Amino acid sequence: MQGMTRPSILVVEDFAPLRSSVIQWLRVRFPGFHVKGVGSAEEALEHARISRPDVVLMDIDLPGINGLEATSLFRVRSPATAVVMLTMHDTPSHRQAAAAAGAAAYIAKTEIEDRLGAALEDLLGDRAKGMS
Amino acid sequence: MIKAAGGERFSAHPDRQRFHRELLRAVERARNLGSALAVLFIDLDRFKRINGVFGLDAGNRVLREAAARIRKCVREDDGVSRVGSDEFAVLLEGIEIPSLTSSIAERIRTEFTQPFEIAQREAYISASVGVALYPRDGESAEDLLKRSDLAMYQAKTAGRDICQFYSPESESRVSRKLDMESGLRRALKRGEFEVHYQPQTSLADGSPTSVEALLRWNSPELGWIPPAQFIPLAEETGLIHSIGAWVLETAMIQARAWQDIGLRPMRMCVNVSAKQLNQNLVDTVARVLDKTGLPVSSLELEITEGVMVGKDAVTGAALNDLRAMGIGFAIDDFGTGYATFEYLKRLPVRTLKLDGQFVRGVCDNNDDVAIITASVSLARSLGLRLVAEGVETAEQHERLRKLGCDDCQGYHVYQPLPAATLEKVLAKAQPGAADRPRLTIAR
Repeated sequence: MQGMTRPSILVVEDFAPLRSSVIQWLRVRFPGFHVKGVGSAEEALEHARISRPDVVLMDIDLPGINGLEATSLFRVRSPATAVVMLTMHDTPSHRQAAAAAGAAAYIAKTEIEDRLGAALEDLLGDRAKGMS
Repeated sequence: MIKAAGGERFSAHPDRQRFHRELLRAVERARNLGSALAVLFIDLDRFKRINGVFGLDAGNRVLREAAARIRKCVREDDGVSRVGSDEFAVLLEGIEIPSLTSSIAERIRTEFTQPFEIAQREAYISASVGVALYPRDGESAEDLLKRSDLAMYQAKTAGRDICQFYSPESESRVSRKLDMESGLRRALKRGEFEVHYQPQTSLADGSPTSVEALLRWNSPELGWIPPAQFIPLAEETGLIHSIGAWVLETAMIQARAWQDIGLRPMRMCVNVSAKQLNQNLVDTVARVLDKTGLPVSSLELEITEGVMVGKDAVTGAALNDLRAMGIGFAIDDFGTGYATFEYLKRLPVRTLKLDGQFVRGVCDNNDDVAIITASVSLARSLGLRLVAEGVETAEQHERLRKLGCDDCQGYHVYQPLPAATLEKVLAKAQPGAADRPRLTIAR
C-alpha cells in the first residue's frame, strides 16, 4: 500500500477474554491493520499520546475514567482519532450520551460480527479496503 | 487444569468438579458483564483402543499430547481441563463473536486429524467436539456442561470427527436415544422382545420352504420400535450379543416345536449381524442345536454382503467354525452391498436373498429385470436358492415366477406373524398337522 500507512486500532476493554476475542477477530478480518488492546481509559490515553490510533473501540463500563468521559477526552487530545463505542448497553440514552461525547459510531457487543467490519470500513474509507 | 502458557501442567486424573467450579465463576462473570461464553466438550474417538492395545503409559502420553494440541488452538487465558478419562472441556469467555467459537472448535477438530506417534507407530485419534453457548443454550453451569456433552454425543453419533453446536432439536433426538438405550438394557429381562416369523414360499407351488425370524420390540415406554432403530444401538452398546443369542435360541426352539407337531419341514432363517459373529455365537448355536436336536440343515444364518467385506480375524474364525458345523448361510440384501463374489466360493452359501428394491421394478423397469435375470442365472449355476424379498403384488409374484426365481417373501404372501398365529395359518393349509397338540413356545 504505497502512500498509505497501516490503519491502527486500539481496543479498550477491561474484560481480558473479550478484549482478546475482539483483537483476534480484527486480525483475521483485517490482517493488514495494526491492532492493540488495553484494559483502561487511562492506558488508552497514555497510548494515544505516543502513537495516535486511527480508531479506538471503547467500552463504556471501565474502571477509573469511564468510556464516555474518555471519548470526550479523545476528541480534545487526539481529534483525528475516531471513537467507536463497543458496549453491552444498548439503550437510547446510552446512544445519546455516546453521540454527545463525540463517538463516531455505536455498536452493541452482540453485533460485533455483523456491524463492526462495515463501521471500520466506513471510517477508514480506502485505507480499510486496501488492508482487509 | 492444564496451563500451557508458563509451565504446562497435565492432571493425571480427570477433575470434573474443578472445571465445574471454574465454569460457575465464569457464568457469574458473564452474567454481571452481559458477556457471552462457550463450553467446548471434547471426546477423543476410540481412545480406549489405545489403552487396550498399547497400554496405559502410551494412553497417558496420548492424553498429554491431546491436551497440548487443544491448548495450541485456544487463546492464552482460556481454560482447558480434563473432565473424563478421555474427555476435555474448554471454557471460552468473552466470546461475543460466534464465528470465533466455531473457528476455535474447528481448529481443535482439525488438529486431531494429524496422527499421534505411539511406540514408533502412527495412530489416528479423531476428536468429537460439542459446543454450548451462554446465554443462548443455557444460563447455568450445569446446563452448559450437560448441553455441550449432549452436542458432543450427537457429534459422535453423527459419525465422529465432527464439531456440533447444541440445539434443542438435537437434545430431544439424543434423549430419545438415551431412553432407548436404557430401555434396551431392560428389555430382555422384562420380556419385551418378541420374535415374529415370515414364511418364504415356493414361487412354483406356493408351499412354505423357510421362515425368517424377525425381532420385534414392544417397549412399554416408547411403543413399537423398528429394528432399524434399535439394532444399531444394540450393536453400539454390545447388547446385540445377548439379544442375538436370545433370538437364535427362541427361533431354534420354535423350529423344533413346529417339526414335532408335524408341520412341513421348513428351514429357520435367523439374521446375524457382523458384530455378533464371534465365538459366543458359535457356542450358542452348538448348545441350542444340541439341546433341541434340531437338524443342522434346518438352520440358516442370514448375513449381509458387508459382513464378508469388512470381516476381521474374529469374524473369519466364527464363520469357519459355523461352516465346520454344517450351518448354511443366506446372503441378505443381495445386490446392495459390494460386488464381491469371492465369499460365494468360500462360504457354504445356500441362499441369495434378492433385495426388495429390485423386486419393486420387476414389472416395469428393464434394469431391475436385467439384474433379476442375471441373479437367477448366477444362483442356478452355483446351485443356490434365490429368494425375492419384498413381494407385495400378484403381478410381481407372477413375473418373478416366470423369470425363474425360486422362492419369495413379502406381504403379498405372508406378513410376519407371531408364532401362535402363524402356526394356525400353516396348520390350516396343511390338514393333519392341526390335530396334534400345539407346541408353540410360551413366552
